Amino acid sequence: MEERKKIIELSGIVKKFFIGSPNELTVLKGIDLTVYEGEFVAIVGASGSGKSTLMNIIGSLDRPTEGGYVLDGVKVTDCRDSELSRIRNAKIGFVFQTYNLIAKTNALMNVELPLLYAGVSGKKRSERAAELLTLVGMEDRMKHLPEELSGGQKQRVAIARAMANDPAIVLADEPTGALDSATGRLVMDIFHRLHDEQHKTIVLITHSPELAEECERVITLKDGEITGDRPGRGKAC
Amino acid sequence: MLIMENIRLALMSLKANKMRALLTMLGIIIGISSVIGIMTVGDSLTEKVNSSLGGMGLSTLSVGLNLRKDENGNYPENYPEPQDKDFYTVEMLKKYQETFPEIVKGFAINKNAGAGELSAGSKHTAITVVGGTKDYLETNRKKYVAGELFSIPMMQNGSQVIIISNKAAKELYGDNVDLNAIIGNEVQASLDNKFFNYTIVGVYELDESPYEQLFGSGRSSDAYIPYKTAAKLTHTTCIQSFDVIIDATVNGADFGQKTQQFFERYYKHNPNFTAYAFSMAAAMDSISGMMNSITAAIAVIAGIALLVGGIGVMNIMLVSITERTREIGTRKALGAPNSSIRLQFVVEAVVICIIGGIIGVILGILMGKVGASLMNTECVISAKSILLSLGSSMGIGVFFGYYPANKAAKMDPIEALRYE
Repeated sequence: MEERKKIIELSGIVKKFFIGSPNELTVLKGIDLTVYEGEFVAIVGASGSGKSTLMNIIGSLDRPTEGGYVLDGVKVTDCRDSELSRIRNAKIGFVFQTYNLIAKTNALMNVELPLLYAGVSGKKRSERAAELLTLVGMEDRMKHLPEELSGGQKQRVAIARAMANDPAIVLADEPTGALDSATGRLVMDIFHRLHDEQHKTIVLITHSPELAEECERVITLKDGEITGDRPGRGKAC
Repeated sequence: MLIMENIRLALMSLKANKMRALLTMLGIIIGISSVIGIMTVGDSLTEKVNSSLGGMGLSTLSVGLNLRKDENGNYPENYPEPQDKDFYTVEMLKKYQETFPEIVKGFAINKNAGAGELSAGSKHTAITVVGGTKDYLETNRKKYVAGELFSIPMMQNGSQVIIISNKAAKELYGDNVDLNAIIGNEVQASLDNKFFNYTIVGVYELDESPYEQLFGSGRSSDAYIPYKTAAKLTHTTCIQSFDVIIDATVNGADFGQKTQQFFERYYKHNPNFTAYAFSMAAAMDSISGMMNSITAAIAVIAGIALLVGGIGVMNIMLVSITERTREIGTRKALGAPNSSIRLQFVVEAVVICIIGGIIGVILGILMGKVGASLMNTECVISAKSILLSLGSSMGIGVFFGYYPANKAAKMDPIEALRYE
């Protein structure tokens, strides 16, 4: 394998809660993980395994208690809060289980939001947002409010929003968790397309073994430690 | 993030909760509209007083008789009628003018010539005839709708001429009377069972505004004749009351006191009456003093309303950010810096307050217009008060919006995203 660019480099990540109190809790117990550019990685694990905490750290929403994290060449663990906002805006595209679209705000404006925070001017914003919505097949519903969209449609808008600033990674937390299997399939297909056609680095957090199998690489988390790191079927797709 | 985007966002969020927004604004609306309303009425009233007193008011003194109080400081139970011996005399006025030659410029004297009936043909109207000197009639500032003031020869000769109100003219000649056509008509007045013939030389317009009814002295029955004519009619030259035209540069209140002291000497031994002098300048001061205290009282009430309104805005913003916790978390995950979240909610509070302020200004102007029309005055809307209102609305928005906005800005994105 040729030398590939490292996008995520986690080294010795430890996350403790209630530090110093009698019920101190160590959720992550020294995670070492490297994700390369263009990889489609699934992180699986039972609830309580530390998946969400790891996702928050990868997503720069949270800081580890110990350890170092380099994202796309930036040492996140050294950054101030305001710099974390900028990293989230520029380098990370979040896709949530519950979509988290901004209510009372149409699909187009939802997709424009990360561009707005990036300081992109009005006209370019709407052009880019329209292009992304077309990519996820939502070009007919750009002016619809979230409440007028089905779950699958909302998640497609959310994926378009995650892609807005062309992030280094797309971080998807149970993106099909709230969808029926057919719609979930549709959403997964979009991720595969982003991976295959645009060579996006995608980190998918899921508790479903079947979905994890579709990815190139499956990382298993148990009790705050990585217990498995193996290729998935996704390699062949 | 651009301020325009925030304003658009704030408007959208208000549109989603119209009723709530309106109720939130209520305190601001009440506060601002009462400030604007009272300021408009006050400015209009001041303008009215200034313009109506401007010609004579600030430079005249009214001198008259007061009942003497007994040793306990009470007025006597049986009001004595003033007799000829109690009145001011022409000699007193002459002496007074000689004492203050630099200040006293003239006298506006009127004399009540009696009340009775005025008739033209078969029609009658009640009448109070007042004789006035040239200075009196000129400073009385009636608006003539037909004819004009007596000529100087008429005054000097004591001619049988009269000026009546438009209302009296209508009662004598019918509602559709051509006022110009009745100039020169003969009318007959019966005063105390004596009959006098007068020629109409002028018709003045009666000021029937509530303001005039409250503060004015005009009666619809007032008709004017030259002072000399009235003196002949009453067979006396004594003067019950008069106005002194004084140099406008003199302090009216001080000179009023000096005048009162001057005339009191003549009444030292009068058992029933004392002299009094009343300065329009002092009266103006008391009117504007009264206006100022009303304004201050309203300002306090408005201030309380604005404070309560501001607290209401803060409360609703706290509710709003709690409802929108997930939205705040999402925005942070998408890369919104704290400053941008803070700005978003401060702008929302400011937009609520400014819309409330604008509604308040409009309502206040309407209130002021109603008030001004009740006083029959021009409605004076000061740009200063509008700018002040909108400025303070904005200030309230920033002040009371900052705390909730800052709370939103400091939310932990993970907690916020997890919020149900």
